Amino acid sequence: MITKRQLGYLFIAMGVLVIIGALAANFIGARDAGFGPFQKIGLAGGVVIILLAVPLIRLGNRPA
Amino acid sequence: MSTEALSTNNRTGNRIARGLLWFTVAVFVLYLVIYVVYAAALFRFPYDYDQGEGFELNDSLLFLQGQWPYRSNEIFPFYASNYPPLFHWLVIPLFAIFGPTLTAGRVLSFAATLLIAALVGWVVYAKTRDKPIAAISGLMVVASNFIYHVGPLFRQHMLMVLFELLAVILISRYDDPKHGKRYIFLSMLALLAAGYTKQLSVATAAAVLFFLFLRSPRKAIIAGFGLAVVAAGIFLLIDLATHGQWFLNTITANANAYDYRQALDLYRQFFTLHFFTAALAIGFSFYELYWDRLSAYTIWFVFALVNAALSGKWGAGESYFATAIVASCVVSGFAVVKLKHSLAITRPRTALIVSLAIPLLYLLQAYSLRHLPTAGPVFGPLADLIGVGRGTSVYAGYPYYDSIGYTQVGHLPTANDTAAGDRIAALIKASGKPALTEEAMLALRADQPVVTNPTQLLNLWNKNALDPTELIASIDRQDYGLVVLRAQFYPPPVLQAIGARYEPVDDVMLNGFQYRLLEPRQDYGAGCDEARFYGLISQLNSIAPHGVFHVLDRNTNPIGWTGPQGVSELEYRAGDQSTPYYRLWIGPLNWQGQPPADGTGAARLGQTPCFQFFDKIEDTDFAWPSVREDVKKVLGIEP
Repeated sequence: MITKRQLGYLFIAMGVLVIIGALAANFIGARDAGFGPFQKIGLAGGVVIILLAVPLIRLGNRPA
Repeated sequence: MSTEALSTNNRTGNRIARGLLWFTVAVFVLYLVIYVVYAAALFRFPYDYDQGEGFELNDSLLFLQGQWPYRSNEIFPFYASNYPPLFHWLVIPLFAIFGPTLTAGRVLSFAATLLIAALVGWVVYAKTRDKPIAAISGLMVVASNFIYHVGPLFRQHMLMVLFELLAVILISRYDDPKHGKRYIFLSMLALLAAGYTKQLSVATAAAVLFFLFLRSPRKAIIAGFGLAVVAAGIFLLIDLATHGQWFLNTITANANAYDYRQALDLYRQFFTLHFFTAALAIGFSFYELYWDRLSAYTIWFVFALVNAALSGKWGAGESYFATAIVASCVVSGFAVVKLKHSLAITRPRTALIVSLAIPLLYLLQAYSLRHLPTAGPVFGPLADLIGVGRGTSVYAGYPYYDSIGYTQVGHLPTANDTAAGDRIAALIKASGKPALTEEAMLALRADQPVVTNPTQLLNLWNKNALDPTELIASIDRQDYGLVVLRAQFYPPPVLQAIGARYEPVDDVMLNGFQYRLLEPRQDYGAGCDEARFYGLISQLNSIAPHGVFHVLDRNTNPIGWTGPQGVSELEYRAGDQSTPYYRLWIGPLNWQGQPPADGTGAARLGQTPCFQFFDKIEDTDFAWPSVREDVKKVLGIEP
């Protein structure tokens, strides 16, 4: 069984991955495209996922 | 106020709330009636109502003949399917009742939608024991404009959602002390069925496994591994059986260009139409995330809502929200009852207000979902009654109103539409040749093979995964008795070739669309154009002993030659060899360049009335020693 805290950590990992993906897009395939709308959406999405995680971590060992 | 008076007020208030709820149920039953009327009209209409329905029927017919619809788009009939097979298989038994017609698939999809609605109602009732809320939740499925539009079409979408819903229902019982393992197994089976109905269900697979992972990581890993192995095994088997055409047509051809604005527009539409149930479902998701345990249905809703972002793909649309809508119907039903029960204990007075507000908000959502025919003895007065107005139309020529605004689906096709389709089919039949049509039913009803799937060709063309040589060569030869265009979805060179060899002879209005009919041109001059260019390549391929000629560059000049670009370069390879055996350049007659001074590079072969030719033999040992002479002979090249 996964706890709320573990779920919170999972969210943070996902959020960080999304942010890294959004920032890294320029180094992979969109070198000259500037910082596009997908990257902005990705960045915002990553931040929101991390923010959602904070209260979860505080909920401790309750089942997710 | 005395306690007795308060109690009497509460009782009256609850009675009113209950009455309002049942009135709301009656309103949603009306949407069910509208849905049935729409479906019945489609069952009677034998032509494509939504672009591509006939191709799905063709897939079922191919399966019935023991053939795969995952085949090369580069050889006659230049047709392939981009969807998995399960829906098309399940349609086949219905041919015994409805014949090999669109009705078979439309009935299956319609029945799937009704079953989804019934299951949603049952799931909500099983958890809440609240009959009117369960009824509203189930009926909300068919009341949604998005689902109403696609429900009775020959499309696999609703069958996919049915399998998805079954998978979620089954996984929610994973901890059943007696049959837990069986439920997990059946859930994986339902996910497999959903995936082989439509690829979009991958998000539901992720949601189901994520739910199981939260509750029992070990079981999730085992079940997920099993599902992945079986799904991948079937995938590889079909790919092997179709020589790679399965991957090309269901994966490569579906990875289309993405427009995030299209997705945002559809999200806006989704939230505007389903504002109450969507808000409830989102609110309940937060409630479960922080104050309760996440249920399978909530996780499904969230995953489906995120997955709906794929609706921004070219060719995608509102149907991509069907899963999210069904999930929101379930979760919002849970939310309403939870809210009512919680408030009844903690804040009885607020509970009464909320009990009255709930049916009113449902009714407000019913109002936001307005869609109905606006003519006839029943729907005409009804349209007047709800303020839409008798005869109002959002789709010119058809008395149909939809709160979405302009939409190409939802109206009732007429006898005139059937007659128009019959007229085109009769013309195809009279030509005695296959037809190039953008809608399969016109060819099928004329007892002719379905030639081309235009959007599939376009998707592959856009990914440089289609060589249209043989198709364009067949247009150059005027192999088709009639060309029928509707949306002109063919790749640009195909459209160019059609314009060069066929001329418009008539326009027929069918189901609100203009169908342009073209017959072979009698006089197209020397025909020195794109159609002939590809025609030449086809001639070359017909004499090539091993491999094929490929267009390498459309704007270059022969090796070693100086001068302007504008010459096309072809190469001839066989198998996987890294360098070509032979190169051929085709240029316009007016191209002028200077040959290489040292005699190396390409040699000028000569010319035809349309083009001049240059070539270079790269490998003198290869197994076609007479290539130069053969090319000159087959193309009629003179010095």
